Amino acid sequence: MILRVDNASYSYGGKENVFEDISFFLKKGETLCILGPNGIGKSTLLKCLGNVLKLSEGSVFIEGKDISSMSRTEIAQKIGYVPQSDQSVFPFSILDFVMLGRAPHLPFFSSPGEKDLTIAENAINKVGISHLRDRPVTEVSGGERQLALIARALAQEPEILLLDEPTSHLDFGNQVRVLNLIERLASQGTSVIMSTHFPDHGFIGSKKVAIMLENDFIDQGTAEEVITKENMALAYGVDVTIDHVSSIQRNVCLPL
Amino acid sequence: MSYDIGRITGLKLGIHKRISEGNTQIFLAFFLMIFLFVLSLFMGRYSIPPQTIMTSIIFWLLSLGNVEPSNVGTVIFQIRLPRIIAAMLVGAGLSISGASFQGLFRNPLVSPYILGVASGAGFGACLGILISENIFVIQLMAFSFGILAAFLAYSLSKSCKATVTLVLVLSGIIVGAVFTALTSLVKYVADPYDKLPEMVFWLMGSLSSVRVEDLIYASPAILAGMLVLILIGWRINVISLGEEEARSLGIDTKKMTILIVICATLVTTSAISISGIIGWVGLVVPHISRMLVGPSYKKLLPMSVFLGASFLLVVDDLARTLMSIEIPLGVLTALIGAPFFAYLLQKKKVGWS
Repeated sequence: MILRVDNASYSYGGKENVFEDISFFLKKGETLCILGPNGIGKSTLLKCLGNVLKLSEGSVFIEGKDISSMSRTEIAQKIGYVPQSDQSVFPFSILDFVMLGRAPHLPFFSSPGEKDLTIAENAINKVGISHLRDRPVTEVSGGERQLALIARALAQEPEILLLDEPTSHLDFGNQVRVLNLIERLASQGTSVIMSTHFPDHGFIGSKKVAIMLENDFIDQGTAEEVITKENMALAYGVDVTIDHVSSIQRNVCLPL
Repeated sequence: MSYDIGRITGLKLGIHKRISEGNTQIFLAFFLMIFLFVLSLFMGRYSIPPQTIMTSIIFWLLSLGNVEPSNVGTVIFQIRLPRIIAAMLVGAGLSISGASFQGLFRNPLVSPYILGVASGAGFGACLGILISENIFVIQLMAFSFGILAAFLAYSLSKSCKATVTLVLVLSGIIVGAVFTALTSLVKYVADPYDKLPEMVFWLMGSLSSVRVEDLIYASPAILAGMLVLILIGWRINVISLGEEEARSLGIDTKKMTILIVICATLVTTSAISISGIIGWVGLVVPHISRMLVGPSYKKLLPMSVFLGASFLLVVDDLARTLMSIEIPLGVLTALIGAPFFAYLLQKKKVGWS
């Protein structure tokens, strides 16, 4: 078990809890897909797992170790976090930008060397934006920027990858490519937690799925168990149909 | 086999080249600074033939400084050299602090005075002039109040629970406003024939009275602060992504913020305690540097140091030779810096979005 979350709660500045008492675990190479309506706290949960925000109650364990006993650098070596969007002010080249992912692996007063450069370039190739390597990150499209963010997290070489709506700015082709990339990473042993607005993403690959509603997970399990007509109606208030499509050998979830 | 090795080394050379990109410009800026340093030795009110300067420098070097004090020697080593070194230190210090603060606050319009250091130091200096004739007292007061202003701004921001950097900027404005008002009060009560002109002169900045002793006490802080900032340069990139992303990349944003604030404040305050308040350098030089070597702080900071030193050397040379009276430095930096900045904006080559 690589990640365990026990009774996690979070509130912004002591106000009402965004989420309460969430518990789950993740094995090596597993992918967890978090579904839920807008504003329910999926992003906040991911930020807490990525140690960007601190849980008000509960604990997160990586490989059995409580993250509150680990340094920021140690945590960042294990967990990579990809925010929904990036607000860089300065026009770093994509390569320089991705190279920043090496920060947790470098001593305080040093800067990246050849090895880090190779890792960064591999990460850029993996997300398929090697043609943008020298372009300023502030001048590429939102989707390309999202891919650069994913590349930066890959350069971090984490064991757990947290992705906050990784496909939200991407075109159809890149959505598929990123989902395939996630599947490939998982098969190579990286554990992934992603939030998404497309229930269908849960069926791609063999994913665990959790539905977040009213500050808790109302259901979690395999995609087939969790993505049901009833749950979708409950979470989104829309009727869906779930069918097996034999040509792609998986279930699909489509609105009625 | 040898073919393979050739390919591998070729690949390695290629990688080396990419890591060292932009270093040529930094070297050029370094040589520009050295060139201007030597050139400035030959410039001044008291005209000395270049050969005499050369011989006296060579003579001084050979005798390891144990030269008989001559008129020429005094002018070069007691007046010009300290002033030139001061111009370089102040120019470099203000530029690197400005660049670092721009990264920390994620705002390219930030100057080294963002935390109210200039207002604090200005008040300290005016108070010093009011109560004492001693230049050391004045400089010490300027330094202490500059540090105090930054400390107050930082403590004020700590008491609020919002995004640290944003509150820090606002705290700087608040502290700055208070010290500016206090400065006005001191000027109002000061003797208008004796003390007031001195205060006004200090607030406009000048290097005309720099002595060797000033350099001895100001340079360690300036050099140490600059060194630390250059060493953590690459990490300033990470903090410029914003607090959340920097944290997810393993940066302790609180400690990092304190470290940058302490270094930049120490450098800025030490610099202006010997020069008075000189604007524009810390804003314009980082921009020009960013245009030349790109936004990565690993290269931006050394570039800012060399260009900042060069810029203030040129401005100070103009200040002491252009007219029969000294032109205040702050006036010249703005008169040269502002139009140049406007030109850059028009060209749209500024390195930020």
